[in-house]
Amino acid sequence: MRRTREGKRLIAIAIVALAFTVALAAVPLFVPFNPNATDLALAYRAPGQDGFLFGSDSVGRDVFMRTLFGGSESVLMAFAIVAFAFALGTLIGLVAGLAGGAVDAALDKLITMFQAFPSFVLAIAIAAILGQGMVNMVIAVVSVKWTEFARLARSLALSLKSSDAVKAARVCGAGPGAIGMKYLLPSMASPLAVMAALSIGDAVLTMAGLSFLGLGPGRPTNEWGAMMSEAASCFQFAPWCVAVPGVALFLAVTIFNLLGDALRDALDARSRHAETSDGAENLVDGFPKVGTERRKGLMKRMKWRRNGFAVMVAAMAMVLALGLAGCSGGQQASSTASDAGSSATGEKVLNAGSTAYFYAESMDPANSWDGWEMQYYGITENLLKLTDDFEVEPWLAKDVKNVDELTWTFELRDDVKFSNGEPMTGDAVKACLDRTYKENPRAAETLAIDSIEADGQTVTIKTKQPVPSFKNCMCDPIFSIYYVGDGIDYAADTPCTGPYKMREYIFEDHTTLVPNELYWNGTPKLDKIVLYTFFDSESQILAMQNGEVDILAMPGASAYTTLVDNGDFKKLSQTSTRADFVRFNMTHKVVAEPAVRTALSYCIDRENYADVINVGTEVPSYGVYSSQLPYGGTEGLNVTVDKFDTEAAAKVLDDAGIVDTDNDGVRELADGTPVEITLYNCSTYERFVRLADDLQSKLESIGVKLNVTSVDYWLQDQETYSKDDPDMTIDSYGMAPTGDADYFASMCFVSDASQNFGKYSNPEVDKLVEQLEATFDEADRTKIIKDISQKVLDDNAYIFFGNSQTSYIARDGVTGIAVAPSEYYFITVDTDIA
Amino acid sequence: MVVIGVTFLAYLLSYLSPTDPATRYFTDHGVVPSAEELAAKRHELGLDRPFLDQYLSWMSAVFTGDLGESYRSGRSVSGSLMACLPYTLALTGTSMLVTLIIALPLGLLCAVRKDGIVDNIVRAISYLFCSLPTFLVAFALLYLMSVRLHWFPVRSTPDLAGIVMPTLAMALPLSAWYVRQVRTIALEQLSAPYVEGLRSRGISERSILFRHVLKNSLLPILALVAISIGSLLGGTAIVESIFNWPGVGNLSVAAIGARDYPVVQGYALLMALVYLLVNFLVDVAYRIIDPRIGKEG
Repeated sequence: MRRTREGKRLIAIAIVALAFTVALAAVPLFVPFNPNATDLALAYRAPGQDGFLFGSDSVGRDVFMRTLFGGSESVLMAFAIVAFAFALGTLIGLVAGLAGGAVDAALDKLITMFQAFPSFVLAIAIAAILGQGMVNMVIAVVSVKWTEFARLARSLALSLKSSDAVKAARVCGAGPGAIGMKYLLPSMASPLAVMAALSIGDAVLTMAGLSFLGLGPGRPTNEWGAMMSEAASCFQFAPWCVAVPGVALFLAVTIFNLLGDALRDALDARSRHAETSDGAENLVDGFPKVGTERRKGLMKRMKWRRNGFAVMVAAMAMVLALGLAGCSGGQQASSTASDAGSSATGEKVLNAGSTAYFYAESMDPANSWDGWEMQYYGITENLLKLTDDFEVEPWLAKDVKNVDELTWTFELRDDVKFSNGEPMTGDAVKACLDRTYKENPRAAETLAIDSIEADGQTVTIKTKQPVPSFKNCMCDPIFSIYYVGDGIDYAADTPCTGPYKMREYIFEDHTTLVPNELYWNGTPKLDKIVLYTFFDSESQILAMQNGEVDILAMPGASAYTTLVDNGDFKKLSQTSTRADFVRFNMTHKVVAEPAVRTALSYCIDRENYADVINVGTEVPSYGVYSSQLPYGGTEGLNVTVDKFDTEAAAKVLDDAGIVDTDNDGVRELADGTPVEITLYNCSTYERFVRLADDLQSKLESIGVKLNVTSVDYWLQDQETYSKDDPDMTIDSYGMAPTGDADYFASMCFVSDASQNFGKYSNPEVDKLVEQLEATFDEADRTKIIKDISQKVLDDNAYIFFGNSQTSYIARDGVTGIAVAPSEYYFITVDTDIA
Repeated sequence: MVVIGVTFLAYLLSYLSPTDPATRYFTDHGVVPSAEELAAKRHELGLDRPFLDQYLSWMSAVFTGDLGESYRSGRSVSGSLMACLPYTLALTGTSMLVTLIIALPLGLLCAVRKDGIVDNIVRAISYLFCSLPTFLVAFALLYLMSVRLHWFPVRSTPDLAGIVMPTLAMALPLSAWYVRQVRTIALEQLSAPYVEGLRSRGISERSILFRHVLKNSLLPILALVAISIGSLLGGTAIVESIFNWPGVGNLSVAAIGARDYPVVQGYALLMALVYLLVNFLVDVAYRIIDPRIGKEG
């Protein structure tokens, strides 16, 4: 290399790039630190606090150390991608160029075929089909990158083949292999190297994009894109979580772009001096051939002459300025909520948002959980209603009488009409319940009936056996009352009796409600309600701040921290019977081992889960039912796991003979099967994502490997178990929405229950649940429930680790929202906005 | 020929997907199938036939616009994709337009004031935007334009006001790249001998720049447009999902999470076809602008 100005600059940048890469590569080798070790007690520490140079993240990991270790992932993976693409592309391009003829034509077609796809689209498609994971991500990016090298190598080989040197060699008898190795490759190396350098930055960005879409490496990962996307929702109060990996990513991309530019400039300068062959004009082509030859040399023009460093310094200054602006912005987040409540036309509109609660799959109250959703929306009503104290009061029925222990008669109101104008008669109610029993197995599970008879405004229901909790059961929205008749497309629109009716419904997007003019119990106060489904916590927080939504249903912890802690918005909440729990797949060998489940239970940090991850909106649970219920809590139960204790967890495994026999850091069962557990986790629930991060780190410390796969199926477990065959999942159910323990027991604990996806089975529990369903006496019932709880706790097929609240974040002026422990009601006739 | 290659690759993608449509059929209906039932279903769906055979029958379905059904919604894949396509095309179009509006003047300015203060500042900004992932730019825009300034809604409405933010999120990083390209192209033109000639004939700098340099830069810029349509189409996936813009990218991102492979496959195929079409149109435009091109062969 001549000592040109370009040459000197190249050397300088190459040294920086090399130092950067070597430093990052050396981190995991020489720095004795586990960047994945979590400590919930140290979550969200600001830079400089508690010894965190650049702060800590949502589960107390050091952001700076994660970024450092992530560098070896991000940058080295980018190197690997470029190396593979380079090798594959060059080989194919060289073969095509050398062989010519049919081989060339075929390979050219192959390249064209791949390049016909927009590259990120193809990368997404391949990564989506291969699934999450580092190797899969590398394959996906290599599959779209190799063609660039192949195209360039091919055109270089073709043009060099006709050069005098090659012609002379051929005359002297050199074979194609020798020509390729001796003459072509050396001349091709420089332009290919330029392209490789320029590709590294691009590869880092592509990986970040894939990570953002959930197609990145599996957890735990410190890949920068993944770090940034997981921290997006806490951006406003912990901007360092995004800024630190962001700056690192920016540095890496910039350094390698500068390297590529410098390399090209140096080669350009050299070729100007040496006046080399026509190959120079063809430098760094590599664009799709789909167009014309006109595009050649485009990238070559992408020159960055002098001042590269000055430019970079200026750009870095800007990154820092932006980061600082973000930090300072967080403190003064304003809440100039626009007047979204009343639109230009003077209509009263309530806009509500949620990531997980507005999720009706259809407008058919009998389908899946849609009855529950529709009652929540204020579309449907039941014969009876549940108060906040789990007392039953009349609703569509004026009165209900217990004729004998198997027979109940409802006296229906005679002023109720469905939204299509049809009166609600006894026959209509019978037709509705008959259809629901036929369509949804959960109906019979909630309440096993013998017959329904109608006579005028009287409905008589006979049960198969005495049902003590009959009235409570009838409050379950599965028994929503809707119109059944000819010509109704239930999935599209079902006439109901609630204060609001559906006007527009777009699955996973929004539901628009308008008042039901025929409503029997007062006048709805709003002209329109729009329920928006959000995909990520971050955008619903921003939408709330921007005044686009007035209320959020069941938001995550970062929403409370961002919106409520500074007094901008109010929180409405009430303790519910909802429990967060782990569900084990009892058909799987590793988790079927009782000691493994007990150890795992010890590793769930319930206190910090409630206080830190959920910022105090949950209560730790060590029993089965919520301690809010008269029969719940741990009182009278013999509890094995009563605190977070990783040492106890290790001891349980040691005692069971589950030890690490081959010293790979992971314990093995007696037969040598490694204790490796796959958790399918719903990424929609921020709290579960955080918990999984913590659990993964805690389990690692006792020699259990937890693989976490993120899914965003909305109905989580039902779909997960039918599709993926996981070892365990984390879920959340209202366990006794009617106040009645039978509900959850018959839905999840009984061997053949509809929601018992993990195939838990204990004949004694089956018998006890049966007994419970027929017991009237309160004291007897409590005793049976305690017995069931004890057995479920001993069997440990479910771990109940937290009880949450029914909660909303609303702006001032929103009134009449039902904050019900049952989580059955949300929109009511009184819901209003000022 | 290329179209056939593209369909082949798209088919290969779904062929390699880990979900067996026959098993899938039963689990969707809540049934655990016996081995015989499964075999019968596989036969019915043609899954036991040779690969090429399956591909050909899939192809004939594709030609009639049938891309199968979504696993999740059960709706026709081609139907849902086509309903979303106009939104993606609109977003791609506006992004391209905004990019040119930003980058052309800035690029020219940088070329004219080469190495001046403006040139260095613009290039520094362009380096910044080139090195940031799209999703970060999108979130920064949301925070700035919605939360701080209250100019636009966080949830894009599918109309003219709603397209502004996703357009900016796509156009800003692309403009950064374009400014550099336009600058280089213009510099090359400015150093061409004909510029000296024009100058010596006393033509004003303004006239040289706009009447001659810009005109001669059109072809390479058009080439640039053709290339970047591909990256724009790919970029829509992330941007659409962040701003909830109802295009095919948004649809496919939702499909990825649910592992709805027929939709992902249809999306890839559709994007490739759109990309091919755009490239074809650009070729036609070349020939119109510069009639010499067609004759070269």
